[in-house]
Amino acid sequence: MEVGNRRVASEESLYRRIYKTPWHKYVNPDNTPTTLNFVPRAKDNGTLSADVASLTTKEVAVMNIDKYALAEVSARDVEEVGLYATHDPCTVETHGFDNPAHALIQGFEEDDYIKPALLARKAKVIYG
Amino acid sequence: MTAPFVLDSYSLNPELSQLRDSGTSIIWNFEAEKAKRIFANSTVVKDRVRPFSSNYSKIADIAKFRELTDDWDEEGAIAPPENTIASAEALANNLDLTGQKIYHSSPGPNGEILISLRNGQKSLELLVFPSKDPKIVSLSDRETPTQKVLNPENLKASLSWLYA
Repeated sequence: MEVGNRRVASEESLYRRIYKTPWHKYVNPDNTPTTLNFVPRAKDNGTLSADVASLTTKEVAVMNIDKYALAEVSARDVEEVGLYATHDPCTVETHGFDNPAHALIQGFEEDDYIKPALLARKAKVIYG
Repeated sequence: MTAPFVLDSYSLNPELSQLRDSGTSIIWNFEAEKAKRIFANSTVVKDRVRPFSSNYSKIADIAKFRELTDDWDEEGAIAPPENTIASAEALANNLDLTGQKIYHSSPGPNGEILISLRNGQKSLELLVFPSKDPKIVSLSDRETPTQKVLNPENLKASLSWLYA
């Protein structure tokens, strides 16, 4: 397993936390995540946060099961849509909290909604 | 944002066909704070969500996005501003008038609103933004995805693709 700020191996799975409260509509009627779960926020410099599945548990990654669900996508799927994932472990010193499983999905282009849409089509809601 | 949106004669919806046959075209104008309908023959049809429409709940969902406040997802999401909501409502009502079934609508983290349409494994994603031109993304399992500016011509072509 690669660790540190390096590529997540293609064989790994990634958990993306999504807001699930029904009226916020982040989940499609068929229980797949919407594209907007995979659109980077302006404040995140074109990256998406995720957790490496093998370094965490669903219970830990979801944080609050009443508000969030987990979507799973493989690192290989991330690469197939032209993106890549790197390890980005969080520590109390640098982030204010510990999360050794934290990773970043990178490679998004500004104003491109195709890659987020393709990623959403490959992802599945697996918890919550 | 200046993205005038025109819907003319491609609808199969009887109500719209009647307007089409009378020589009336419908123009949606997204330039204003509130989206307006302007009819070429000065006839005004009252804005409404048709309660018998299968899209009723989807359009009502968009209206409910007005209740969102910044940080609504507790991850820093920006609430969609009024002009974005009004534009999305106008687009959804317009689609409804053409008989197009709306699959889902969703607010995004940057104040955008997504309206998605599906036909089997094909989907169209219509995106309305607070401060840039709306976009349309087409996706299918078998074809290369595309992203275009959402304008009348591209919407017409994309809807034709969706049902081809």
